[in-house]
Amino acid sequence: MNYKAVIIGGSAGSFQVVTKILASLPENYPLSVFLCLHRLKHIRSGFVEALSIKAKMPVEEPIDKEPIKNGKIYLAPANYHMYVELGNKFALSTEEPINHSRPSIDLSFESVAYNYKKKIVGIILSGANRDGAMGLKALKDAGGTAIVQDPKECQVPTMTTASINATNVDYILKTDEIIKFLLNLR
Amino acid sequence: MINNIGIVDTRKIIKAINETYNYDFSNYALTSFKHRLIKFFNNNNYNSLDNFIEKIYEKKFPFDDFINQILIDTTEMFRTPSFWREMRDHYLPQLVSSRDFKIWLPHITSGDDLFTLEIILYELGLSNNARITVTSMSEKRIEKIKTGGIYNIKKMEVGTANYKRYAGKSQLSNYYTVQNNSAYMDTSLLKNVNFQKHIITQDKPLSGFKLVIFQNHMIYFNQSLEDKVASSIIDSLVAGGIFAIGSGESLEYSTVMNKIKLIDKFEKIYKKKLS
Repeated sequence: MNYKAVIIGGSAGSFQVVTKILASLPENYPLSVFLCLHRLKHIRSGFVEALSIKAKMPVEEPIDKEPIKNGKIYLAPANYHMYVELGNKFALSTEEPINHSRPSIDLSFESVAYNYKKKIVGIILSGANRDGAMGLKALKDAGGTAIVQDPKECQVPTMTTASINATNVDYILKTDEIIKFLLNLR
Repeated sequence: MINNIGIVDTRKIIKAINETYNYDFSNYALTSFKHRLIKFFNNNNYNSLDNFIEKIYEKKFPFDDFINQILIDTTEMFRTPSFWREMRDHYLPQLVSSRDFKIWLPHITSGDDLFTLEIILYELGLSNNARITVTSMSEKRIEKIKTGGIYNIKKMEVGTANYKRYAGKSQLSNYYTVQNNSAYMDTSLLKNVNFQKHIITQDKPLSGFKLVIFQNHMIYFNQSLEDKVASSIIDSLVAGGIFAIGSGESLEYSTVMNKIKLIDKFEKIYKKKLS
């Protein structure tokens, strides 16, 4: 196994793409999947439930210091940043929003990059601000594999275009190709 | 400008601060603590980490500013409105009916939780029944809160939206005044408060509290420090006292679960066992 986890960043508008990807991953998918999606900060429930309808893997919002397990999908909770901490546990934070975002994709990607080095696949999906670009760069700089959804396929390409400009990404892929890539990681 | 500090250097800085000022940050959660260090380093224009560490040892270092800035104060008034509704509708009326009602807000950073609690007590007509102890490791923070917090307007917009979701009796704007683009909370709300300097991570526990609100602080500690702080807070509670933490936090991985009972899983409210 070359990878430990997959991390996906996007805004609320990428919900359909996210559910499509999650629906394609089998129940026994061996990696953990981290989702950092921009979301309404005051709506605490409903998002996990909505993703669980489509996903075959279990979906949850981690609590602070929860040990990370393979084969699970973890969604960054509302109004917290989500980090991977030493000892392969989650850490949450109420530090200031970055690019108006808490959770911030940049901060999640940076912490995952720092802890997983080359054993991580980072994917940036469609989104309306630049959050994610610096995170994907950090992930790529640490040796991880950087993937960006093809901006031609995105309704709002700000996030994907910023990411492509920020670093030398490994792949620019359409949703179906992203799914194929992830299934091949098994 | 630096973008990152490695673990080795972080440990060196923590050691220097501990040896020079007797404040121990070695069990703070690493990622968020590093963010604070990087920010402080860049804001103060140090030219190298060695220079930074040297200044600490020489005590040519703005330690009060450091303590002030290391505390994460980016929470909100009425953050998690449903939690505060629970406090209003169930816990506070019930607790305040008993004699000698003491509340503790330890390790306070921004004052958001304090003003939130005070507004709730005021709207319940219970301000005079409660005695609130507010502690912080930063005297600068205490002074700032005593003069009304001084918040930027953007923060008040967030607080106003939260207050509406909380469904308060009035409007948040009735509790603050605006001067030069800054908001000052009404300090008459703080008549029932006793402020003290206290370092929750290393000082002795206080005692006799019926309620301790400690939201979104454990996330900045590692497990062993969380265990220590949780144990200290539980020791400060009377039997049957209430201990509330943040919605993203849990004490289930800590060593104190034998002393408390989870009574609200969604809002993360615990009760100290009777024996």
